[in-house]
Formats: sequence, C-alpha cells, structure tokens
Amino acid sequence: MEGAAAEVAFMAASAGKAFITLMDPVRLMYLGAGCMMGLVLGIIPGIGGLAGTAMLLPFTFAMDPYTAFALLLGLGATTATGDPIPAVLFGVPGGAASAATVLDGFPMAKKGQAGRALSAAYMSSLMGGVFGAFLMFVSIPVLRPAMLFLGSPELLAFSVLGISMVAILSGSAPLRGLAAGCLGIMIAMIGTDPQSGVLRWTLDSLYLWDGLPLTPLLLGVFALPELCDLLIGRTTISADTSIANIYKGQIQGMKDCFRHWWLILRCSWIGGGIGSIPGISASVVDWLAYGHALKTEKGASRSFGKGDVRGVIASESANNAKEGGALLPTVAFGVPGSATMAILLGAFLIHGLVPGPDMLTKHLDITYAMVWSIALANILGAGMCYAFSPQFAKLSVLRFSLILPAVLGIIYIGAFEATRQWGDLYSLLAFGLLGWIMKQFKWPRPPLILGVVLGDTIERYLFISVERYGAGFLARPLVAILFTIAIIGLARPFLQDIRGHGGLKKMLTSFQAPRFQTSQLFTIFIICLVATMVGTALKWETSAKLVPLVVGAVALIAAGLSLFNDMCRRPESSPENMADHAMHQVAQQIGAADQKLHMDLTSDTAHLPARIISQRATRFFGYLVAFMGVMAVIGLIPTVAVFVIVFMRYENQERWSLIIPYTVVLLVSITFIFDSVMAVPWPPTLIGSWFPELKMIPSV
Amino acid sequence: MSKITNIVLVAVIAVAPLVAWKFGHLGAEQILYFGKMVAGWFAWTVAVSVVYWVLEALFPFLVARSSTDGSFARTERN
Repeated sequence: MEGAAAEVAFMAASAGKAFITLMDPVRLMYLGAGCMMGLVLGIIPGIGGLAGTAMLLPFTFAMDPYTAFALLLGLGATTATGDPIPAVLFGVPGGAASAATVLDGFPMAKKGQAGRALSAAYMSSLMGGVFGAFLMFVSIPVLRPAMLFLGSPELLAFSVLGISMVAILSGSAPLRGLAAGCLGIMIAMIGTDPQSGVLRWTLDSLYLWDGLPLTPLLLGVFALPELCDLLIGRTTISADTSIANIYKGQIQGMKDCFRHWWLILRCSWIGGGIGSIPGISASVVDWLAYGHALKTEKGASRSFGKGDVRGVIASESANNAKEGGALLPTVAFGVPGSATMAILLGAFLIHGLVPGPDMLTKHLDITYAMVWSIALANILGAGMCYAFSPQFAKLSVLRFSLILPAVLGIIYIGAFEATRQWGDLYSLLAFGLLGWIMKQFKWPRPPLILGVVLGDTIERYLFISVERYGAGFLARPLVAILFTIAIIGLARPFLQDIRGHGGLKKMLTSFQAPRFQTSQLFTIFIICLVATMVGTALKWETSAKLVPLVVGAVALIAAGLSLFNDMCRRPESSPENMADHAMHQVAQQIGAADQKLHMDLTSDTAHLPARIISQRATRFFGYLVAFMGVMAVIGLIPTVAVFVIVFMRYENQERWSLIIPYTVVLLVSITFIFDSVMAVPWPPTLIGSWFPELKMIPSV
Repeated sequence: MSKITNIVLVAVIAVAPLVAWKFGHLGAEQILYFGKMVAGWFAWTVAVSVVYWVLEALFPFLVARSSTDGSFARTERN
C-alpha cells in the first residue's frame, strides 16, 4: 500500500514538475511558435507536418529536451487543427488528416455556414487533442510497473517488432517496406563499428567516420520531395479567395461540439486508440471516425456528405486525438506510432534520451512535459485559429513560387546544423533525390527512417543480449512472444496475398513472362546498392559484419521478390463494363481504409505526363546544385536572395514590386533569427577567404 | 472581427519594440544594426534584381520565362 502511495506521489511530483517547467515563458514562447508553424504548415497544402517536424529538428540541438519537445510537439499536434481551413473553405484538404472533413465541411461553406463548420472543427480538434493527451497521461501509471521488468533482450524484441510492423504496414508494398527498413538499418551502420573499430562503408571519407547524421537524411527524405512535388505540381488553389463572414456562426459551431460531446468522445477514443497502433497513418484515422459516425449517428446516412456538422466533428476530433495515442508506443517502447513519431525518435537520440523504461522512470518528467505540450498546443492552436481564421485562410492560397524559395533556404540552414560540414549538404541532396524517387515509385519512406533510427539500437541490444545471455535470450517469454508477433506481422501480408489469389496453387500460376517497366529500374538500383554493400561487408571482422550481412540478405531477398512480383505477376483482370468499373472503384475506396494502408504521403503529380515530371524534377534538383555552388562562393544568405529572385521570375513571372519586398523581408528575417538570435555558424565561403573584410556580412 | 484581429496584430508588432526598449533590450546600437541590415539586404536585392532584369532584356529566350515544359504557372494563379 505504501509502495503504491509512493508511486502515485512520484508520478504526481513528476507531472507537477513537468507542468511548472513548461510554464517558463521562454518554453511557452517556443510552444506557441511551434503551434503557429504547425498551423501554417497544416493550412498550406503541400508541405505538411512530417516535413515541418524534420525541418525544425536541427534547430532544437541547443535547446533542453523540454523546450525542444515543446517546439516539435507544438508543431506536430496542431498541423491537424489548421488543415480544415482549406478543406472547409475551398474543398482542398490541407493534409491527409482532413480529407474526410471536406465531405461535410465544404458543403457547409457552400451553404454559407463556413464559420460554423470551422468553429466546430477547431473546437472538436481541441477536445480530441486534449483527450489524446489525457489518454497518454492515464496510460503511464499502467505501463510504468511493467516497463521496470524489461531488459536488453526485450528492448531488442520491441525494436525488431517496431521495424517489422512499420515495414509490413507499408500499404500495398510490404516487400518494399521491408527492403527500405533494412536499407535504413544498413545506413545506420555506416561509420566506425563501436565493438571492433572497423570502418563500415565510410568510402574513405572522414565525414562518414562518425556515421551519417540524421538531420540531412530526414530533411532530404521528407522535406525535399514535398518541395519538388510543389514545383512539379505548381500547387495553388484555384478558388474564390473571398472569406467574408468567416466569423459568422462560430458560436453555433462551439455549441454543436458541446451538444455532440458523446460523438467527440467516441471519435477521440478511435483516434487515440488507432494512433497508438504503430503503422496506421493519419490518413486512415479520420475516415474510420467518419465511418463510425456515419454508422452510429441518427439520420447520418441521409445528411452526411451534404453539410452535416457531425461529419466535421467526427473526423476532426479523431485526427487530433491520434497524436497523443501515437506518442505512447514511441515513448514507452521506441516503436513510433506514426511517421512523424519516427522523426521524433530522432529527436530523442539527438537529446541523449533512450525511449523505453528510462522515459517512464528516470525521465518521467520529460514524458509528462510531452503530455502537457500536446494538451497546451491543442488549446493554443484552437485559440489561434479562432482569432486569426481570415489571415490563415489567405495562407492557403499562397503560390508555390512564394513558398518554395523561403522553405528551401531554411532547409539548407537546418541541414548544415547537423555537423557543420559540406558533407551535410551533399547528404541532403543525395537523400532528397532518393526520397523523391521513393515517393514517386511508392516506396514507403518511414521504414527507411525507422531503420536508421532503430538500427543502432538493434545492434547495441543484440550485442548486449548475446554477450549476457547467449542464444538463451530468445527463450525469454516476452522476447519469444514479441518475435512471434513480428514474424506473424511479416508473414501476414503474404498470407493475405495468397488468400486474395484463391490459394497458393492459384497464386503460383498467376505469373507470366517478365515485363519490364521504368519503375523497376529503382528496385534494380536498390538491389545493386545493397549487394555492393554486402560484398564490401564480407571482408570485415565477424563481429562487425554479422548484423550487416543478415540485414543485407533480408533486404536483397525482399527487394528481389518485389522485383520478381512487379515483373512477373499477371495484372488483375479489369472490370468489363462501366458499371463493374464503378463498383470496383467504390469497393477499392472502401477497402482502402482498412486494407491498403500506406504509411506515407503519396505523390499528387500522377496526373502529369512523365516527361513533364522528369523535366521539372531535373530543374528542381538543378536549382539545389546551383544553390550549393553559389553558396560556396558568396555565402548562404546572399544566395537566398539570388535564388528567390531567379526562381520567382523564371518559374512564375512574379512582379518586381512583389519580388523585391518579399526578398528583403525574407533576408532580414533569416539574418535576425539565424544569425542574430540563434548565432548559427555558417559554412566558409570562397569570397570570404579572398576578401576577409567581407566576413562582416552575415554568412559570408 | 477580421479588422479587429488585423489591428491587434499591427499593434503587437508596433508595441513589441517599445516594450523591448522600455526594458532595456533595445537601444540605439540595435536600431542602427537593424537599419544597416535592412539597408544592406535591400541594396543587395536591388543589385541582383537589376542584373536579372538586364539578363531578361538581353537574353529573353534564356531567362525570361519558364518555357521548357510548355506550361506557364502564371495562368494557374488566382
């Protein structure tokens, strides 16, 4: 009894300490800044919270963990609060999480109830978000005692489970997900092996001795592909920008939320619960909640889709609640509940924190600070939305030529923050290209990042487990259970595939002579890359090559099978007439929510011809190379000016009267934030070495 | 309401330096630094713009517009 009382007292003290720490004005300011950025990214279609979190990560290096997580979670938690604005006003979801909101929000706006729909969306987002945080808050006391019994073998098993689940829940491409996850683990092993001192895949480069830094990799894989697609798609919302009467009906929207509190509670529970299951993406949660409301609410089958506020409430409360749910497995087991959480895992490593038992014992106050951050971020985010709806609405119609140059400059600064070497920028470029190709060919990117983040952990825990217990660690009950779940997770999509083909025999006969497609070139490239890495690893000492060889072999098998499948699988028979075709489409849409989960953003440039896509992508990466070249000569900030002017004029013929003030404001903001406030060290420049007196200019 | 929030925004932006000055975080040195920064970057922006404008006039086929892929985004604007 005394033990339980002491436990409660400890948790209450940790929660209290976390709250007081978070109430520091500077931390609150960062939380507010994170919320503002989250809202802006949520509102502007095309960038999203995933890329935003990756972009912010490098700027948290110098912060303490409380502040860093306040900033990152502030952004992550509010992206879903802002994205109903374009969804309701223009019928274009700001992000995947608000796709279902369009169904009822947009018809409401057409009926002149935009204010009511937006208000209901904000209020239900707030309630859902706070519920998600509460869910995590009450889960900690339940998980804490269990976590104390976990040793290295169990943590290894959790890491393997995490990778296997995310790789397998990679939509319709489980083999690609597995191969990407394994490639990620191999990337994590680049550098000096801590056990044997062997240099693994360092290509004789001093930069790679300490391993590839996470930041340029994250920015490259997640942020650059979004910008590239922005240029390719030239995204802009062609809509009436009139946002009159946006405040009208706000009170009614709030009242709607309180009237339908039970629906909010149920949908928040769905959001939080589904969010805590690793691998299920945000794009599914809102549909599941919407579907639940459609099935259970009175008269919903007649009114949903025609402007029923309950449709908005259901999807918005669920997608904000999922953030708290997704944080739970991330903190407790190091198994990210979403793609954004995979990036957040990187933040843990950067700040010297290890997800798992430590986060619920030694660092419990940091964990509670995260819970408070999510709750406060949702309140702040909703408040900001209520106050600044018209201003935010204008953001969603910004042209790509205004967004892209500013964001690209910040990405370069962020990437260079990793180790402050030119290698960071080369990594950014290389992984940007890799990420974009992966996105184009529907190779899931989160497993790659997860492999990189968990690769080190897996090798470390494997080493400790084998040293301490020998092969006997596999017989520990929890380890055996977790490995079994991982194996089932791996086998499940294949079993489903067999079932879908009507049995193994039918499946094996559904192959045909190989057909070659351009997209298969990328799979061949991955196979060649992994084979070369495995070939190099063969020469290393046994302890240094064991894990790389095993992981490499799995990657080769997975990529090889994926290639075989692509080339030899007979295409499924297409529906014969239009009616069949329509039925097929509807069935696919319904099935997509629970069967074909794709834990990544999909490219929305598929409507363009391949020639246009490749031309614009080449131009985008050409800009990146040119940016780096000019930056090496004159410095980063002056290069931003050159880039903005060239980009805005060349790509969109913007007016000089817009370009010049826009560029000056951007340069002054970058200089003030990154040079004056954050004192970011800049890469050395040629002009600075030729004329040292010019070094007084920031970044030269 | 929209007007009110705009006024609040402008007021916050205007009042922030006054508050900073009141509490000693903003002095003549900082104002001079900020002024120099704005003037310097304005001069640099104008210089680059003039160069690009001249290039546009001299080599319109090369830098004047994005004609490489046949689509011109200006038409896609609001």
